[in-house]
Parts: sequence; structure tokens; C-alpha cells
Amino acid sequence: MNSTEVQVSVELHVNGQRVSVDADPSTPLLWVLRDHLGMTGTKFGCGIAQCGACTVHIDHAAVRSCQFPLEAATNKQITTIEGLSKDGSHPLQQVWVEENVAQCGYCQSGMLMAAAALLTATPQPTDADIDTYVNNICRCGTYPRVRAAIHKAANKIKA
Amino acid sequence: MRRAALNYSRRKFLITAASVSGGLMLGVTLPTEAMAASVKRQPWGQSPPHNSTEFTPWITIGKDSTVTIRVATPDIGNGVMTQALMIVTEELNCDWNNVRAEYASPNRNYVDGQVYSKEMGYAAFFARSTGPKRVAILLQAGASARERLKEAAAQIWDVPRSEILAKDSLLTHANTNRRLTYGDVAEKAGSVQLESEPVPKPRDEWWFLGKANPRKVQQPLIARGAAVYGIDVKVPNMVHAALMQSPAHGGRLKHFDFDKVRNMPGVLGFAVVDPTEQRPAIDPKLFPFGIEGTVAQSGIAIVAEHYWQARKALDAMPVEWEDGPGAMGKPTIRSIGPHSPQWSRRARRLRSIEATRWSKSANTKRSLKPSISPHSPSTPRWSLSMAPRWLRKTALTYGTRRNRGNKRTSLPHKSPEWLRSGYSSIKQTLVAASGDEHMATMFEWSWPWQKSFLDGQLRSFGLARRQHGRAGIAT
Repeated sequence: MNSTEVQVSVELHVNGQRVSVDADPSTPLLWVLRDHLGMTGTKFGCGIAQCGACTVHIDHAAVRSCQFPLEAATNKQITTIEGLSKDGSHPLQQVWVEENVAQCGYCQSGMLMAAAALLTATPQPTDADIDTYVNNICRCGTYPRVRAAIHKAANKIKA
Repeated sequence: MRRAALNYSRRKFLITAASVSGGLMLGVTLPTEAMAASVKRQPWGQSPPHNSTEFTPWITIGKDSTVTIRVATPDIGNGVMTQALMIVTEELNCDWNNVRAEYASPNRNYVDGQVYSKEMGYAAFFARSTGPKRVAILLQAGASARERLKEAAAQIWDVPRSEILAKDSLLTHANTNRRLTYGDVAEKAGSVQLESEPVPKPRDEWWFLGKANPRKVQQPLIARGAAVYGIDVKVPNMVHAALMQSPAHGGRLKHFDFDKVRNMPGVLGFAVVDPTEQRPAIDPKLFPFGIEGTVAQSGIAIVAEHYWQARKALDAMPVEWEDGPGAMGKPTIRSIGPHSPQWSRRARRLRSIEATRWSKSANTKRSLKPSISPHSPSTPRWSLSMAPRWLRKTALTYGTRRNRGNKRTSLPHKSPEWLRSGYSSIKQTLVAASGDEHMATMFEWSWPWQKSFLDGQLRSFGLARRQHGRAGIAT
């Protein structure tokens, strides 16, 4: 047993709340959220920061939480799909429902978080922006609907 | 499975194989979701739900007129839940905004005379999820429930059943201008015995199926991250396991040293998956397609309080495998890799074709040259699911070695053995679709017309193949 295998108490700011977690500081944020805090909206997909199913916001930027260690998340504002809005009222969430975007839905939490970060940074994204920022993988192939929904949400926010 | 109980204090636990991500939605919840058909949180509910009457194992109606419909197959995104609700609504004439789905309990099916599988066999739980047989079953269940509701109202009002109209979860007797909701008479209707079962109306009289186009009922839950998938299920006192399997098919666990990791944080024990262990026979009716050739693969799992603890301990534990015959075949890289004679001959020719084609392309973004960006995925975001239907079919056809005589799906006769074998073909098609340079080259060699066809298809969908370097976070 080496010195890195220790449990420490870490304070986090998740969805506007202060929480305390006892875990190895190297634990990926994904497992802290899912396993320690019970917030299972954030999904495990590939575990190697490729697919984006685990995307959360850290200080308003989209980050793949499966490769983001707990120790790096202290003193940062973490937002998960559960905190994107209290009641599903975020424009993206509304449009997602209206446009019937999800198929199986497993990747969509990450897709939504990536899209939300994009709209914060780029209120009127182009198709190219969407391809660049929202590079999450969807096995069902919902990309055309995702793209259409992001444009619709952008217009909704603007209006 | 051999288990070593260490300090998990005999509590009940369920090992969740968190190393496998769940793709099935098990259940979803939305008690506050207004004005829409919805789905229930629990994988399956208690039977019957509180304050409601069960008409058939498929349908219950609550005192508040909520119609709950049980769905036996998992909704994997194909909309089987929404479809089941729509089929019942067609005949039950209930208010679409007050129907909800929940999963049928396989356990109940077992203890309760196969109530869900008597018409379709066990396939009711895993196959033909949108098949016509299900339509017939649910139309009949809906029609039957509707007539029993009407009969109950007819008895209350002492009028003929034929004079009662059932629509939007309301029972109306127009002559006397009387009304009851489905919920009002549900309890009474639950005990009504019809003299003869009603016949569902013919297809050309459908008012809802094929006409209404509601969104899938899970959408609000998915959008809030509230849908519950297999990987999200929690049970009391749950612990987690990380599993490692033999790297070669059919390999055996030779040695492992649990003592090296037993004191790591959270570690509770280990579990060995031993393929030679005697297992109870499986009812062959469960798997009509046969699973005799399916054998457990040798594996070792670490059980811990949390998944990451199990994973770290598993990674840290010394494990040795005895590969066995599974590793004795010709390595794939030698069969298809750049050093094989077939590869070099064909690849040389092909690369020149490639070079010509791409250099002629005005759109240099579509070059297959990889460029590395620190934040970008190592492969382009492009999956077989985006490929045209025929290509997916092609992959499947090859995969099962079934040549249906279709010109498109017939294999080149001169293809080497690895291409003829189903596995290689699937793999080849998959990696080709992923855009990997070597594989794409190989792909073109096998089916020279496919790649351009593919790009054309994608363009017609308004999509371009996403290439290396275009993904990633630009700042």
C-alpha cells in the first residue's frame, strides 16, 4: 500500500451545494458523483475521456469527469445534469423533449452538458461550432437531432 | 463463483459490474410531470399499484383514471413503451395525458402462471419488442378493459352497454346526459365478467395509431438525467466489483495475489469466475436460439465499497493468465497487418488510389491525415450506427456468414480467409466506418465503391465525416 492510496475528506461545490466526500484524491470525479454522491445522471461510457457521456461543467466549462481527478475539483463549481436546472426548464432540456432528441438516452446527459457549455460560450453556434464543441458519441446516431435542437435552443434563448 | 468473504460482514449485497456500462433503461420517474404520458421509476411496480384496479396483468386503472400499462421488453430507444401506451389507448379510448408505462415483472410472470408470456413464450421479455403479436395482445386487452368499464357504468345507470360512449377516459350516456370517469367505475369494472370478449376494431378505423405522433414518453426524464439505466440501479447496502477477464478467449486464471491488495481502502473481497464450476441447467425454452456454445469466461473480480476502489485494487493486484488455445491462432496483426503479403500488395496499389482521390478533393478538411490535438478523441466521431442501413445489414450478413444472394452483400471471391470469416468482416466494417486510415484503406480495397457511396449518403444527411483534429475543445 503506497501513500497515494489514502482516503481523505474533500469539500466540493456540486450544483450550488457544498458537499464533503471521503475518497482517494485520485478518484475520477465521475465516480465521486455517481458512487459517493449518488448522482447517477452523469453516465459512465468509455472511461477514457473519449465518448463524453460523463460530461459535467467545472467552472462553466464542459469537462469529461471520468478523467478528472477529485483533487483537481476542489474549490471549483461543479454542475451536473441534475443541476442544469431544477425542473428541466433549461431551454436545451425543453427543446430536447420537444424535438424528441433522445433515443435510448444514455449519452444525452453528457450531450446536454456539452451543448449547454457551448451555448454559454457561443450563444449562436454554427454547425461547425457544434461539431467542434459537442463531440460526444451517440450510438443511436442522434447527431442530426442534437444539432437541430441546439440551433432551436439558441434561437429560443435569443428571442 | 468462488468468493472470499473478508470484512463485508455478511451483509446482503449485489455486485454491480460497473465495468460494463448499462445501455438499458430500466425505469424512469416523473411524479410531477404534467400533461403527458409518462413512465414509472421502479423497474416494476407492486401489483396492483396502490388505489387501482387490475384489469389484466397488462393494464391497471387507478381511482384517478390513471391507466398504467405494463411493458415486458426493455425500451432500448426504439420506443416500445410509447408504442405499448399508444396501442392500449387506441382501444381503451383513454386520455393520452393520463397513461403511464411500467415494466412487467418477470418474477410475477414466474409465480403467477406466466401471465405475460403465455401468448408469446419467454420471447415476451426479450424479443420481437414491436412485433404484430404484441399489437394484437394489447389491442385485445384495451378493448376488453373498455367494455368492462362500459358494462360497469351500464349497471350503475341501468342502461344498455351499447348506449354508452367511452372516450378520453370518460363514460357518457348521451340520452340522459350522465357521465362517469374511468376511475369512478374502475373498481366495479374490475370484477365485471363479459359474456363474450369484444373484437378489436379493424385497422382502417384506428383513430390514434398511425395518426398521433407523440414524443417518446421517456424524453423528459432523459433530459433531466433522471432516467434509470441498469448501471444506475441502487439497492440497499450495495457494494461494487471491478472485473478482469482472461485476455485470450478460453484462457484460465493461473495465479493472483489478493493479499497484496486486501488492505487497500474499501476492499472487501474477491470473486473468481471459474468456467469449470457446475452451474444449474438453463431452461432451454428461455433461449430458443440455443446457447449451448456459450461458456463463462475465466475472470477475477475485486469487490469494494466503491467502484473506483475495486478498480484500483484490481489494477494493483498481480494476476497471471494461462492463455490456452485461444491465443494460439495466427495473430490478427499478422493476418491483416501491414506485414502480410496480401496487405502490402493491395495496400500499395490502394494508397496510390487514395492519394489521387484525396489530392483531387477541393475540401482539404476531408483528408485522412491524422492530426493530433491534445483534447481530441483519437478516432473520429463516426460510428456504424450512422452508416446507411444497407451497410449495417452488410456487416450483419457477413457476420453470420449468410449470403443472401444480394449482389451488394456477396463477398469478393478472391478475398483472403480473414475476410471470409465473420468476425473479421464485422471488425473490418466497424473500423472502416470509424475512419481509421489503415482500415479505411483496407475497406476500400474490399469494396471500392463503398466509401464514396458512404460519403454521398452522409452528405445527403447533411453530415460530413468528422475527421481527426476537428474534434476537441477550441479556445
